[in-house]
Amino acid sequence: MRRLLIPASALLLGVGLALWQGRMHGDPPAAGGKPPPPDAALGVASCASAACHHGNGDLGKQGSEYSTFVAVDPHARAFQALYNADSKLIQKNLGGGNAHENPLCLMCHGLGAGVPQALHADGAGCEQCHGPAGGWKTTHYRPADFNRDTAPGFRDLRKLDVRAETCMKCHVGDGSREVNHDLIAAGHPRLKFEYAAYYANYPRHWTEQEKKERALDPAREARNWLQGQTATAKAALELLAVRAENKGAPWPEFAEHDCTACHHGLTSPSERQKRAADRAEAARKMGKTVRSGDVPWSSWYTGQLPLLASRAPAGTKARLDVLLQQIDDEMKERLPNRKRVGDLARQAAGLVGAWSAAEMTANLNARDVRGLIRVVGSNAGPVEMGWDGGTQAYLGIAALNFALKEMGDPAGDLKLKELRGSLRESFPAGSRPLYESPSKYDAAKVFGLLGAARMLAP
Amino acid sequence: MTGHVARWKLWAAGIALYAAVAWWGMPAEAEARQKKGEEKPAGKSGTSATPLFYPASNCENAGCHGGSPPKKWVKDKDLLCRCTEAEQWKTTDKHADAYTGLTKKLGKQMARILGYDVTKAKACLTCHAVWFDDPVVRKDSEDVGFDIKEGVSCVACHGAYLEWIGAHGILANAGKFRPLDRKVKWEKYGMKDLWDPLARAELCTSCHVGNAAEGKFVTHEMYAAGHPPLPGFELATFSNEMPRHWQYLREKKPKVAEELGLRPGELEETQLVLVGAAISLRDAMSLIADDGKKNAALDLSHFDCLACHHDLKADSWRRVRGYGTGKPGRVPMRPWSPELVRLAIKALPQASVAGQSATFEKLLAAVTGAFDAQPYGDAKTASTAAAALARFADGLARKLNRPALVTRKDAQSLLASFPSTFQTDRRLLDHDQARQAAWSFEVIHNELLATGMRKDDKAATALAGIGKSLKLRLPDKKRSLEADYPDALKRMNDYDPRDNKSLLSGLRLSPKGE
Repeated sequence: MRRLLIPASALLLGVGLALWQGRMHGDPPAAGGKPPPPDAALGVASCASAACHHGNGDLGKQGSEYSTFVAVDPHARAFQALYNADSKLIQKNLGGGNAHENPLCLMCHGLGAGVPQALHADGAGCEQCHGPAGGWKTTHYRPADFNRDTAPGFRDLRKLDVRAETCMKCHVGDGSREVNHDLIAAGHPRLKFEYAAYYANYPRHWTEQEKKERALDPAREARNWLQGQTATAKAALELLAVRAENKGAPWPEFAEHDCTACHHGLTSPSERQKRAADRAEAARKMGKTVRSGDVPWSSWYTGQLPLLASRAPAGTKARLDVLLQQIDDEMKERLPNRKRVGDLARQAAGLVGAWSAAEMTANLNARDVRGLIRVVGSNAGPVEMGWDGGTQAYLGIAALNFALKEMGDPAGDLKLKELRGSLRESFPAGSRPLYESPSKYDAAKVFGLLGAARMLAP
Repeated sequence: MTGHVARWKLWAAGIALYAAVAWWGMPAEAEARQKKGEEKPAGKSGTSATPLFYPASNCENAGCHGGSPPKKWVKDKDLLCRCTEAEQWKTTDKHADAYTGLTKKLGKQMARILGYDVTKAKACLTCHAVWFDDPVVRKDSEDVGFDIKEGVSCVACHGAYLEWIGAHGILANAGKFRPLDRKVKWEKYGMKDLWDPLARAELCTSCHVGNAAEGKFVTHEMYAAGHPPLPGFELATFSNEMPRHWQYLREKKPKVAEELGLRPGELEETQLVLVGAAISLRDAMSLIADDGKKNAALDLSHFDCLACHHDLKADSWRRVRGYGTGKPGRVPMRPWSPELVRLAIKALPQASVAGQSATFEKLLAAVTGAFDAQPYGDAKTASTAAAALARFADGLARKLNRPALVTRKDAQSLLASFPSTFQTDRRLLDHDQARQAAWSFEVIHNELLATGMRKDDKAATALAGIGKSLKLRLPDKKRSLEADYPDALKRMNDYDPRDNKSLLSGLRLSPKGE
């Protein structure tokens, strides 16, 4: 017995020391012995250990999030894009230098501002969405020490509203980053985000979590769409306010307008002018003044809202309709009043934000979804105005149609294949859709195809 | 034998009529009449003659300008004119269709969108026909047969005034009228001096570019309603392709040419190109200056149509060209009007070229800078800068408006240095800029050929190539503008300067001339 005493004590001591050290410090301390500040981004590599998130299991499996990200996630390649020919051209037009060193680009294509250059190489990495890990990396796997709501810097993406808002930062823009018309003219593709569509196509690294969520909410795809439409519109309205209020920013901001309102080749005869003649005569009969050649505000983000707003909290629809019309009227002016636009946009954003929150828990059964399909299919205004309207209508119906399938009440043939075909064929053969004008868009054809949606049985 | 009037009575009536008209129309009498009670100051128009719009039908008589030149006119002198002008105008000139265009499909569409009658509105008639500020003048004109359907008719250009009609058109007066100084013919009798390149240029540009004071301004609202985009204007080309109903002085009988002031070796067409370039810029800038002064925002018509109105392409030549010193995404000024001034400056005396060129580029940069400063430009700054550039252009026009300023050697040198003037090796010229350059080369080159220069095969080939690629020929009357228009728009939309770069660079005269 005595023979074992010293080795046993040594063993106990060693284990005790190890446990004590682990409890107090977790990982080896950072240089200087201080923990990183809560807003510090640590970089993708710090999440990517085999024991943590790089398990190399099936795509999307828990524990293999990084493995999934690096294999199939487009965000992983966002930084590399800054080396390609498009980026070189953009940077040339911005006055020279390198895109991969331009903070403007790194806000979305890397890890954001104030981050060492090396950390951008992994693209729009983990912390772009999950929040800078400095304040929670060492606690987030210890339930006793980790609170999802209060952990500094942590974004709780299990909350669906936070998840949606997270995408908007880059895919719509905010006070610290945006793709404006100067950048688009330099060569950047336009931003054209639709939450439900992007979400459906995204190679997720959280498949088990997603399964759980869908089991709890069969109307998940429809809710994604409703919540996505409202959250995206809110982000867009807030961005409009930021642009209007920022005296240093170009104003009016052309990216707030429909691209093809200006960027269409002139033709004769012109369908656009024919429509304008009909509209002008109708407007004059109602005693309105008519001005031709105005540039309307883009309908991409808000075009569907008026038809859906009856779902919003009481009083929203009436006010929102007025606000959106007022914004459009003011944005049509050659020099829109900055303050007025900012105020209107913030008011509208507030309304839409409250509506978005309500959609998280709103009732949504198959009958509701069928009603939504009919409503989206009848939204003639935006569909007539251009490709943007037609595409939003198509994406809406596609999402809602999928929801009906999941809810066990399939809608039948809503002509989705034909709609998609028509929208694709709006671009000249061999073109790059994000970069080119949908000059062959046929509004009448698209609205006709939407007839199947309009006629859907309740 | 009722209905048969005695011959002597006819003669008596004829002589009486002749005498009456002769008295009325005689220059001296007209002057006296004016001095008596109708003494009018020259005023803004620059003439003290009586406004009156004779119809084209008045000029179309056989024996006048309708064909069949009179065998006898001013004693001992050859006829000044061809006497087929009115007939040619009526049958081949698009100006004769200017009014009827308002009644066609596009005109009707514009009326529906703009909400007013385009066949009656000043905004339209002031260019597409004539506009009467004074209803009394309108009544008087209608009394002598004025018909608005004649469009841009003879007197719209040659002088819508009473006195010169009788003064030049009646044999008894013509002899006295003909030798008068051209300035006097205008100031006292109202006959516009269209032999003067500057006077002709500003007459044409008043409609083809615009003139705020005369209400001649095609706004973006009108374009959006359907008005075809005003093309970049080049005076000599547009004159030639009216088609012109007049001869160049070199085409006239030598004595007549001398009488009209032709100097030996004078290059009339070249001078039109150069003076026209300066006046086009002046008037384009004046429009901007006026608009920016009156309004908080510049009308979109001052901007480059095609900078916005093109189908977006992934391989965008605009992105490849870059935005110069400007910012990407800002709407630039319409780029054609300064283009030929670069050429015009080179025609000045050698010693002043560098200085004038530097001043021009500085003034132009101030204007384009104002356009780039913010989206849709800074109207007030643009207005001031444009006014300064307009003054420069006006001064340049007057310097260039000297007879025989440009010798044959000068003209050849202008063509030989074409690539360096327009930097065709380095720049990507857009559709309108390229046409300006090509037209000017074509006119000067063809005038040199017509007056004896030996053919330069390379230049001729490059010109033929660029002529086809840019479709330098203007639509003619046989094919209506409506038939040509869709193709023209498509060409503008599809135009990629990279396809034409080598052709444009080839526009140069080989150093060995004649």
